[in-house]
Amino acid sequence: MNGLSSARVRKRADSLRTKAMHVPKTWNAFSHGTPTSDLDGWVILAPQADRVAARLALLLEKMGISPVRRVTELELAHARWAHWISGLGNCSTWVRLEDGTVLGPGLRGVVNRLTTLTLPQAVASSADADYARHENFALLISWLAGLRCTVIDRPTASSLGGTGLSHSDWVGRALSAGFCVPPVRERRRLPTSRHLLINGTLESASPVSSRFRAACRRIAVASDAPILWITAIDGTPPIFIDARTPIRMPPDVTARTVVTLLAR
Amino acid sequence: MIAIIARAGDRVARAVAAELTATGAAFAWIDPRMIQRLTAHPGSRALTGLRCDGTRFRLADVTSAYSRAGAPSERAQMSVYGALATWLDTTPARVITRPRQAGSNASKPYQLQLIGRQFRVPETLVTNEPSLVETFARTYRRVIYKSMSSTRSVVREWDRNETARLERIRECPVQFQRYVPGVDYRVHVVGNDVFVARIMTSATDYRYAGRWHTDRKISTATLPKPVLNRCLALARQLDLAICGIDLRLEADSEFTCFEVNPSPAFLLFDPDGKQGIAAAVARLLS
Repeated sequence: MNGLSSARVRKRADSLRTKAMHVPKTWNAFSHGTPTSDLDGWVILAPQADRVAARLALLLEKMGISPVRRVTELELAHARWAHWISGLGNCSTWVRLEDGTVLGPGLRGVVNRLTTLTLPQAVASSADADYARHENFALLISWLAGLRCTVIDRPTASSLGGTGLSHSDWVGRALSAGFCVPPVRERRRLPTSRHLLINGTLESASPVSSRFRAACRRIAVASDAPILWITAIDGTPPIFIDARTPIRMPPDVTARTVVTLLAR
Repeated sequence: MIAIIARAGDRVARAVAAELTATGAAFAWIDPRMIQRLTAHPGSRALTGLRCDGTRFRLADVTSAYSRAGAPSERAQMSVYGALATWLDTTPARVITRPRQAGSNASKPYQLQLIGRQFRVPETLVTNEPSLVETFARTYRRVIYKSMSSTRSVVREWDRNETARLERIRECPVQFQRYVPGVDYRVHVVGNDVFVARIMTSATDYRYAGRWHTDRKISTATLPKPVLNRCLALARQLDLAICGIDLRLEADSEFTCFEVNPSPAFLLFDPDGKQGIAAAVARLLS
């Protein structure tokens, strides 16, 4: 895939390992003397029943991106958190899961597929549940934003995973980005193609016009989504059909995205 | 057409409307709670118009908009607010402030990471582990705690004797910060204009000085040019045409920044309009 050998992908993945700014002196107190193991690999944050996450984990491991640990929202809810921000705005985070796994400086990459946050039972049934949900959401945004490793689908203010945009929202953005949007009944008959946009660069097999490229970039900016899988037609004007963020992409496309990011 | 999108009772939006009236600029007031009907393009379903309080508006006629729509208070209003947010995010009209531009405020620790490129920020720990808080408090002696989401909370100093209460953080992570002693400054950036107010108070959170029966004196102030330039740079970095920046001047003459409000309620700092903040917003819209 992308002409990269597994060994090269693995080497690149290793070199992107996050560096700890400092190990806080309080770390020993945090671990309480219990055995912990710092995860030296990739994490897929996903609900327990997420089959795409399971398939993605297998694909990534086949490509030499390993180990891959799936972490559920329930595990995050019961984790111990330590999220530091220095006076310069640098951040370092340790998340200790109940089984002793620590998501910290060893993290090499994260694929976020969470759409909801779970709260511990005692909090979920309390009057403060809404407040706690907002606070946990804010923490997750800050944690994933502060990671120096590759993170696919960072949460935004409006959505935990992806952009949270409905099809109408996408259409509004597509129109202002310079796309034409055909009526729903006409879309099925059109000869569309799919284009993967990663941080402003179109990963298309065939050449596309500069106008189409610019429209794709504009929709990514307007939707605050650096990674998009766009179904469209490179015409005059370009025609928009659909856009998906990684959370709605098939696992092979997400895996391709990971490999492309590691190759850059 | 200039659109003001805010609840009817919004005093900040009213101050801007008064300035627009004074300059003879025509504007329409759209209260999101009073929207009765939305019109969308039949093919694309993109929002094209709305009917608010009996008046029809063509959204293509809007050249600039001042949005203080906020969040819906009732579930039934969610679709209207959502459609409006999409339009505000995508319209070619000048919008102060687009919803996606206000995003950093949803997570205070995330925003601190961004602010750190321009200003010193308070050392921060977010945790659900009491032992870490105790160590943090030993390191910085005085520690405050406050919400980390956009939910408003009163900033309070943590009392080390509250160890039993500290156990409650095990249920939900809490944001603790080094207490930053000094004088508060509130800087409002409106386009290329900068307005500075100094707040003298002994309260930990000057917004609630009255609640603690402490004095609060707000006055117009000036700051060195390099500091003003950093405020302008911060506003640009966050892609905000207007914002309220909370600074505190410490004894070492360095400014620490706590947060940036993307939709500032500036009347507290400019109640009679003498600073001219509302007039500057009106100019930006015109």
